[in-house]
Amino acid sequence: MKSHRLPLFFLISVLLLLGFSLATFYVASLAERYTLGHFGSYYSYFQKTLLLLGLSLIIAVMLQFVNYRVFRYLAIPVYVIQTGLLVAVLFIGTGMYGSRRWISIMGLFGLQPSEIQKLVIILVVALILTLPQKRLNVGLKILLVIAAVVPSVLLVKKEPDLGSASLLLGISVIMLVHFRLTGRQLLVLGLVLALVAGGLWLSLRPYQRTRIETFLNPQADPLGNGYNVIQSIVATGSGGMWGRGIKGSTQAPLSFVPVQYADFVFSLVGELFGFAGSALLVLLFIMLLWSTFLVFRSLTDDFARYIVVGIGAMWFLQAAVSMGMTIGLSPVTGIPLPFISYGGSSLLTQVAAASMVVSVYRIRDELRF
Amino acid sequence: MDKLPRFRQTRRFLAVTVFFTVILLGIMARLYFLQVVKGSYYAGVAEDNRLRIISTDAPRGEIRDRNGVILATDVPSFDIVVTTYDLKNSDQELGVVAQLTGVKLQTLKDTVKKAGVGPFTPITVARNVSKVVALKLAEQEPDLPGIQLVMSTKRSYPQGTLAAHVLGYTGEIADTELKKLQADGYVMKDTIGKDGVELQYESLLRGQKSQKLIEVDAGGKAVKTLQEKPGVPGKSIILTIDARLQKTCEGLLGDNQGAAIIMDPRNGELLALASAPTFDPNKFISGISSQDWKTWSAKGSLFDRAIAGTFPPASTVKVVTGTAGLETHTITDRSIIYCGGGLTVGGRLFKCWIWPGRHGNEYLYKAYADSCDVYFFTVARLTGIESMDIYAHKFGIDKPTGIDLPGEATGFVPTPQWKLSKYKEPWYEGDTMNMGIGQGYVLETPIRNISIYSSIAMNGTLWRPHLLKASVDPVTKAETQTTPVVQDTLGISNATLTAVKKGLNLVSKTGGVARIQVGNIEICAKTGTAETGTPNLYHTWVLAFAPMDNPQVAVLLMYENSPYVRSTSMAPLVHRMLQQYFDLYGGKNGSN
Repeated sequence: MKSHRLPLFFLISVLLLLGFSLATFYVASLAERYTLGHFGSYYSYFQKTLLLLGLSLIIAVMLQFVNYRVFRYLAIPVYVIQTGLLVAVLFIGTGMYGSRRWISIMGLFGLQPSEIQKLVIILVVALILTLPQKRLNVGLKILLVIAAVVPSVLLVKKEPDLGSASLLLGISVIMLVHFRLTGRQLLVLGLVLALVAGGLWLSLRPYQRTRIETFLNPQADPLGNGYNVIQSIVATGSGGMWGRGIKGSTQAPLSFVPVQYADFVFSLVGELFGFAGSALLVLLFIMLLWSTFLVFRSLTDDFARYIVVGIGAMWFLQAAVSMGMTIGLSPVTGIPLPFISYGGSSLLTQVAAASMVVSVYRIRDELRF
Repeated sequence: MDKLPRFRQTRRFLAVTVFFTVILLGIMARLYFLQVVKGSYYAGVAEDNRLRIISTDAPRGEIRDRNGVILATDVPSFDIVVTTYDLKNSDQELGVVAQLTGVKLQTLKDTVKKAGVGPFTPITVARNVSKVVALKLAEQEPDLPGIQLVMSTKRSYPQGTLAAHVLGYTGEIADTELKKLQADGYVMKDTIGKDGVELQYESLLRGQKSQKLIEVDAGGKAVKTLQEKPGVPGKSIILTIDARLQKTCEGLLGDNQGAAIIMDPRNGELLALASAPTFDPNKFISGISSQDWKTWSAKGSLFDRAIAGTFPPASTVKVVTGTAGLETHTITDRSIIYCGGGLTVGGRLFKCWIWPGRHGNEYLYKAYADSCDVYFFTVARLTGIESMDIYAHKFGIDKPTGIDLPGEATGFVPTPQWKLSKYKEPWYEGDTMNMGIGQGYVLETPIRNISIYSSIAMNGTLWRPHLLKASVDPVTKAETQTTPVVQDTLGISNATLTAVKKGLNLVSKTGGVARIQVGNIEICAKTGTAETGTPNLYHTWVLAFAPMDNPQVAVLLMYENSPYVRSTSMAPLVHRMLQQYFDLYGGKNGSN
């Protein structure tokens, strides 16, 4: 089997997605200038994304000099620190609509611990699942995973950020699916999860329940909770086949869709570039999905494999939920679209995750003798 | 085998990958549906989203008197509007409004709900709030993102109670009115004329709202104006009313109940149209207090006695009786009837007012001057009820005069058939006699009564009484004058009317009524004192027109439950009305 030094297919997918993000914000800023007569917030999103992207790429390159196996040892301390931040954010955090999600760093930018926590959980779960088998049997490992994941899930849910909390849970579950469980054990796990989901529903705050109910029927409350979804669908739909472009776009420049630069970014793509652009973006994600699978297939180290599974799960859960919600296919949650949505912590996390995938791919050969 | 074989792990990830691929393809299918299949529909929705039509009320036309005195105008005021999209906590925010304005929270919520507009369109929930409320709300505005105080205008009547019944007042459009007028572009909370000229000439006074097609952002904030249709202010109205004469009339009525009218018989222009007790229309504008409402209800202040009150005309109806007698050749102006102080008919004594005195021999002119009841009892009796009714109809007692005000009532002319069906009693001669002196069943409105005298003054031509002198185009300032309309021609011979006038002229020179005289102007006058059923309580009338040969003015003064026992006591008051009229207009040979 011929092996490359770099996973080219994967790298191209990631870079195309990042380019897509920049293009989206740039075109949006032009549309905004056309409508408002001056550059507005989208231009600053474009500039900041450009800056953050540079920063992320530097970190990504730096990560290449770190052997990923170091994370086996770093996972626990980082987990402890991160968990501390998740607790801290509940007290000193800032956010919109009464939530506390960001920690302000010297007032310069906001750090979103729940974003970074996704990566940390992936590392911790990967670590637990690959601990030497002599000491731990399967059941104990699963219990350990639960012990490690549940506190984070609860803390993030407390912010409240139901979307990210569910995401942490989802990532862990998909990683467990790749653990040595028989089909029957998976079934049992599924049942247990169903019970947990039921418990979660009961513990939801009213607005969170409404959101899920709204998802099921947005027209029921067109001016309240359904508003976001309806406006988002309108924006997406108005793009038509080729998009409304710079001169025709109105929903975005006039900010009809709330947080269209972040959580609802997919509707921005839909409005600006139409079906052609949105479908292309979906195709890019499918490309990323399969290139990630190809990386996974070539790996032999279990720790590395779990990391790739976790990262892949993170991307596709996020992509599916984030794109789905803008077109009314999934409930409204504050989950960003990987690589595309505006947001520092998110971009940093996703680029770091991509860098890690590249890293495990590059180092895989060293394990072959 | 402790470890999941690698190939099985790979197979599972493959399965997961395929699973997600299917989901993403599903998303693509949904995109295809939204963007390609329904793309043009959503493009339309997006357009509607960003485009908004903002209507702004146009100023309502002013109402002025014939000399330019402002009777009604718009002054700045504050409205409270709600933009539902900006409401963070509707109960709390509307609660503050409810508390400040005293409007019930539920009412406010209903208003918002019923508005039926998008979440970004401001809804007016309270109009013309007081300065105190406005200031308090302004203080709290930063905490109330969905509530805004906006500058607006409100109707104001700078002369207070002056001509209140003529002007009427404006108010918020009622649901029932809205249903009828929606096609004319009225919307909820619009201001509309509720009574008087404000109601009658709503279509003139009301302007066209300005409309702006604007592009807005999600916050409803205007970004660009795409199209603009300027508003058109309402037309101003010039009334025939002379504020000075109106004031005099209202002063004469004072705290009594009654009506006072000054009319130009040559064209029907009403120079004064007063009803008492009166009210202050300003109080309707900012929401009438329940105490005011109670007081006004108890006193009947809102009731326009001048056009809607019906009263027994008493001796003032003797012009009709005399005309009927002359026209049917029952009498001539020289027919002599003896007044012995009373007349016994059907075993019942009908007293002349002079009873137990007597007038002796009476003929038409002297009978008017003396207001001899026995004379007119006899004329009515001899003329007969059929002819009496014919002439009562001719003079229009039971017809509206067509005055340009809402709510005009008509008087009543009794007939034998009516009496039979109503009281199951035959018509007696005594009923005819009572009708001949304006007692019993016959009823007249003051506006009809002065119209009768005006038509006599004009030799049988009744010009429709009216208040609208002209309307003024707000832009070109061009005035559209009202063309006087002949409402009725009596079809009564000149000789008869001349005879009646001669009698009325004699009235103005006789006894207490002589105090009516103004300089050497020949005046025709008639008094009337109607019984009310309560001893020593009367409705008293004085009607007059002058000059006799070239009439310029007709006046009426009437008290319901009069402070006077004799109508002749009112002669000096009517003198003041006439005096002021001739002071103002007499020299000009016209009423300009």
